[in-house]
Parts: sequence; structure tokens; C-alpha cells
Amino acid sequence: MNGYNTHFNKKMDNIMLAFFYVIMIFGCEKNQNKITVSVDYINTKAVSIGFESIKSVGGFNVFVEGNKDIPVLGDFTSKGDKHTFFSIIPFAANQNYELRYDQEFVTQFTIEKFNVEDAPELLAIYPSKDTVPENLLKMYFIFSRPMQEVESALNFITITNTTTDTEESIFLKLEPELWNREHTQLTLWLDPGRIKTDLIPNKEKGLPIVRVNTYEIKILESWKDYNGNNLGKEYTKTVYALPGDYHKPILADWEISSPKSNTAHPLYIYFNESLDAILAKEVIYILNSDKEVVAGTYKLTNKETVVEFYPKSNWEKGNYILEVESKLEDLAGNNLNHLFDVDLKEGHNQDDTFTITTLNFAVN
Amino acid sequence: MKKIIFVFALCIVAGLGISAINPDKNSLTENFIVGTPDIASVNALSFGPDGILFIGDSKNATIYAVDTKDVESVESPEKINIGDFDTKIAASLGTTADNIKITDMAVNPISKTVYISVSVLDGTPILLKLNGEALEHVSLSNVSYSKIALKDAVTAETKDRRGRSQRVWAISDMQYHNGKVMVSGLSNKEFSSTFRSIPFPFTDSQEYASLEVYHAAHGRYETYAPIKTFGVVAISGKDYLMASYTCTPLVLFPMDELKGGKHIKGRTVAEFGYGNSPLDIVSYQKDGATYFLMSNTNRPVMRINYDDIANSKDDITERVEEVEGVPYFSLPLVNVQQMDVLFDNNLIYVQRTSSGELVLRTRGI
Repeated sequence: MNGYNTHFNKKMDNIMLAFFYVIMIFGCEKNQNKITVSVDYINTKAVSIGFESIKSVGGFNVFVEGNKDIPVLGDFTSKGDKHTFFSIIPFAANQNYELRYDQEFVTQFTIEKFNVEDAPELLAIYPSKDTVPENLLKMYFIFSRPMQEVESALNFITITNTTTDTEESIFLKLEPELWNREHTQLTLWLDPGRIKTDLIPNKEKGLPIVRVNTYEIKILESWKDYNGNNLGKEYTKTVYALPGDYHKPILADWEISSPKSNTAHPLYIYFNESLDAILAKEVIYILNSDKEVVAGTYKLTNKETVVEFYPKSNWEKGNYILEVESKLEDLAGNNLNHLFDVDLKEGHNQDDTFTITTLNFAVN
Repeated sequence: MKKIIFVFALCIVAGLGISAINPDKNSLTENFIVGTPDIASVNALSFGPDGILFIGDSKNATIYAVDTKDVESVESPEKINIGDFDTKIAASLGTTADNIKITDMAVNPISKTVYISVSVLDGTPILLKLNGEALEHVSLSNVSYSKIALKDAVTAETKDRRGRSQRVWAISDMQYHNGKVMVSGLSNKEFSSTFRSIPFPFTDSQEYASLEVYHAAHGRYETYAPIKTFGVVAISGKDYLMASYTCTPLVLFPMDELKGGKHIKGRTVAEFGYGNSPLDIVSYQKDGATYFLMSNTNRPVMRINYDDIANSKDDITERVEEVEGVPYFSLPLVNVQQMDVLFDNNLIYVQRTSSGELVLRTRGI
């Protein structure tokens, strides 16, 4: 097992959970001593091969078919004449490999592709509404499964301005890309340099999206998940650009619909505008009069204009506090403390301070 | 990755000094443990002293320090010229080039060994090193290591009140310098970036700063412009962070002020225009002079004289239409994806050639 990476070790830990063993036998007519190769699969991943030979294991190597120069990295172990080769990552599905001894061909084996998974889905694109400010800063793409980590996401997204019938490039290419830990949620920034008024990128190329234009964003079916499965279909989102939003979210304009005491009815918080779909679920807290966090779950609805809070226990009569972290952003990246697009003169710094803003409400 | 060789030289000299005082020459690894670090991704590599490799893991929002024990000194390694480099890496992993991605490269300044981090389709991180022109796996099982989590810069206590998972800071660059690991990161949620300075050996402490830059091509101050890559430059005995942003200004920040969450204004010393993104910064010495090399997405590798930066009195606070600030020289090197100084005046780099081939080569600089 030496040489396995930690990712793979985890899978080995799960060996008892879902283990099946498939033997693929291949005859080799080229050698007088017939050698057969068995492939060990764990969770559909081909993690090792086994074979028997009286020859010393030191002379064996595994190669991708057609490549005689670069052996596959891994470790051989032996028990008598039984040899096992663990590659440092699982063998690739549908790939042909060759076992060689002192460079001489011994036998070939192929890794089976198990189609046990449904195609991954694009579950949501935020903002979910189809009208957005022309200074829209970012979009989120939420997938049902971890997506591949090799090719740039922008290779699988096309944007067409259907008003002018032109292909557009609106997103900033970033390396590393901005994914969540599970690699199911992608954040793409519309090019910030083009959004800020009068900056040279803005003057040269203009806003990434422009008011009274309609944009068709296509997510290509060829985008693969972490197991190499394509998206089940092509996805399309159409957005219509409105004039820009150059106002900070103001809590005083929010409305709170208080539930009745002794019920577990949800609390509704109305923003009066669509806010950042991810941040809005993470930076809002309900505190009781003792400044203790009220346990419950948050749900964003109505095109990200409403947060519904479902308490774990019935509401008690009394005063409550709604706390909101200043980093909450609207669709244009304006947060509670500062505008995204502001002309800073020397001596006029952005308010970069982290703050918490509060609203009070009562449950009767 | 971005290693400043003359800095390492200073570190080595300093290390020798410390060794003379402290008989325990492994004090840097005193708090290391032997085990298998649960590394989920390798986004950045950087060597520190004594063969210690720092690994930036965005998924775990953690920096790992791994004792490679690769400390046999080599003065002048063989030159390297490997064609179809991605195909060869893929073959060594039993797959094809479309299923792998090189995420970073770093040269061990002691052994001159080239380390390469690779991601495969499912994100499994692989660490490889070159032995001659052959690839070898660097196992991260049962290694001597320590680690530190990149905590949120603000409201650590608030963060957990709703039991949220730790946020991801995509590590855009990382470098060891003079006892500290410096890390720049981008948030995958709010539009923000952070710069951290983490003392090594790791303790519980890490310093934060928010940086403000006058972006000459943009004609604006920008607080939230994300740092893409950075180096360290000493001017009149004082260290400065030399940061390069996504639209390629070079900005100096005094290192001793990058702490306590302070908001620091940088001095822009060069502006290379819009439409380009920096990828990597390395430095080297030649004929007693120090130079920086910066690779870019849409421009050749640029060479900048350290003295031009150190002596620059420029403070570009007026908008410029084109290149401004310290002079630079364009090397005949385009589409360089990774680079580092192999030894002395020899650069090693990964380049996509005009024919589409990915090559790993060395060349004099």
C-alpha cells in the first residue's frame, strides 16, 4: 500500500462497505508461460492488478498501451509467485494497459467502465431571476455531484448576446477557480475591471453585460463530473440586463414578518431585492433577548429576495434581534458597508471594517 | 513556484548561524508529527529551509509543512528538456493528458530537485518529482509534517455560531520568507482577498492585512483587487511585499505593516497594462545584480532589475494608458505556465509551445 495518496487511502478504508471483485482474465499467447491478470475494483475503481509468475517481480512494469517508455507509477508486492501492483491512482476506465517484463510484452488488460451513476445535474444557477443589473458581479453554479478538476470551467460555458447575436466573454478567468470544498459549487466573477466605471477595461470593452440586452448562457453537456460522466444535457439560462445597482443593501428597508409565539412557524425576512444566494444563507442570525443564537434552518426563496427561518423549537414570546454581517452583498457586489464601484480618492478609504448590523423584532 | 533565491540564500546563512548557536539543528521540525496529512488539494508549492516543502491546500484551507528529507546538496544539476511533458506525466499515472492538470512546480533549493503537483479528474492530488528526466511519486503517507489552518480573518467566533463549515480560501500564491509563510487567498463567496503572514514553525498565530493599491491602468484605488502572485524585495534593509495583481501592476507593501488586520496602501512601482494576468514571480542573481522574472498569460516573461525597483521613487497615482514605472525586458518566452530558478542563472519552466506541445525545459537567464 505504500505509495497510495491519502485520497485513495480513504477509499481503502471503505473497503468493507462496498467491495466487489472482478476478475478479468487475459491469455497471453506470446509467452510460453501463460500469465493472467486480475483487476481489483473498489467502488468501481480499479485499484490494483494481480498475476502469478515465477519470475522476479522486479522485472515487471505496467504501461499505458502503446507507451513503452514511461511505466505507471505504483508499488509491487509479492507473496511467493503471486504479485500485486497498486498504481498510485486507480487505473483509468476504458484504458488498455500492458504488463511488460524487462520491456518485453507479457500481456494486456483493460479497465472496465461501470455506468452505475446517473449523469450529473446542474441544480441551480444564481441569481435565479432572469433580470439582473448590468453591473452583476458574480454567478454561482450548483451541481449535483463534484465536477472534474482538470479543465477550466470556462471551456464549458458559452455566452451569446441574443440582442446583437454576438458571442461574449463576460467571466474573469481565474486560476485557481473558486469552488467550494466539495467541488459542487462554482463561483464565477464577471470581469470586475470591466464593471468599475471609467476604468480602462471598462472604457475599452465596456460592461460585461449591458442594459436592454439579453444574454443566453449555455452550459455544455460535455462538462464532466469527477468520474468522467458528462452532464446529462445542455443547460441554458437567459438573463435580461437592467440598469446597474449602485446602492448598498439597507437593513432599515427590510421587512420582518414575525410568527406567533408558541408556534414553530417560519420567520420571513423580506429584502426588497435579490441578494447573494450563498451569503444570504450564511450571514444572518436570529438572537433571543439573551443574545443567544436561535437554532433553526434558513431557506432562501422568491428569487433570493426572502429568507425563511424555521426555528428548531417553538417561538417564545419576547424581543429578538436580527444580526447581519456586513459582508452580505447584493447582485452587484455592494455590501452593507460599501459600494463595489466607488471612486476612491486618496484619504477616502473604503469602509473595510467588518461590522454586524441589527434589526429588532418581537414575537407576540 | 515563486521563490526568491537570494532570500533562501539568506535563510540558509541564517540557518547556519542558528545551528551554530543551537545544537538542535532540527528545531524547525520539532513540532512535526509523523503520519499521513489529509491533504485534499495541492494548489501551491514552496520550499523553505532544510528541504521543508510547504503545500497550500485550498480545499482544506490549510498550509502543510512536509519534511522531504531531500537535503543532499547539488550544485549544478543536469539541464532538462522534456517534450510532451503532460503526456509523460499522464502515462506515469496510467492515464492520458486530458485527464491531468499541473497545478504548481517548485525546485528544492538544496537538492535542485524539481517537484510537481498534479491534479487528476476527480481532484486527487499527486506530488511528483524528477529524477533525471524520470518521474517519481512523492508519497504523502507516513511523512513528517505540521500544518496550520487558514482561519477566517474576522469573526472566528461568529463564524461557528450556526455551525457553518469553514469557508474556502482559494490560495493564489504562497511563499516562505525569513521565518514566515505568506499566503494570498481569494474568497469563493464575498468579493474579497486576504493576505496572511504565518510564522514558521507553526503556532496558533497568523497575521492578516487588507491591501489597497492604486491601479494605474484602471485609474482607481482598489481595495479588493485580488493578488495573483508575489515576491519579497529588501530595500534599504527593509522587506517589502512585491505583489502583482490580476491586471499586472507591481505594488510594494512594507512587510512590517502587514499585520493586525491593518489596511495598508501600496506603492505602485510598475504598470504593465490591461489584458494580461501575471502567473508567477521568481528571482535570481547574476553578476552581483538581482533580477525578477514574471510570467504572464498574454505577455512574454518579463525581466525586471531589482535595483530599478529598489531605486524607484515612482508612486503611480495618476492613470496611465500604457506601460509605466520601472523598466522591464521581455524574454523570448511566451505561454510559460510554471517556472522556478533551478540553480544560479538557470530557469526551469513549463511552456505550451506554438505547436501545442507542453515542454519542461531549462535555459540560461
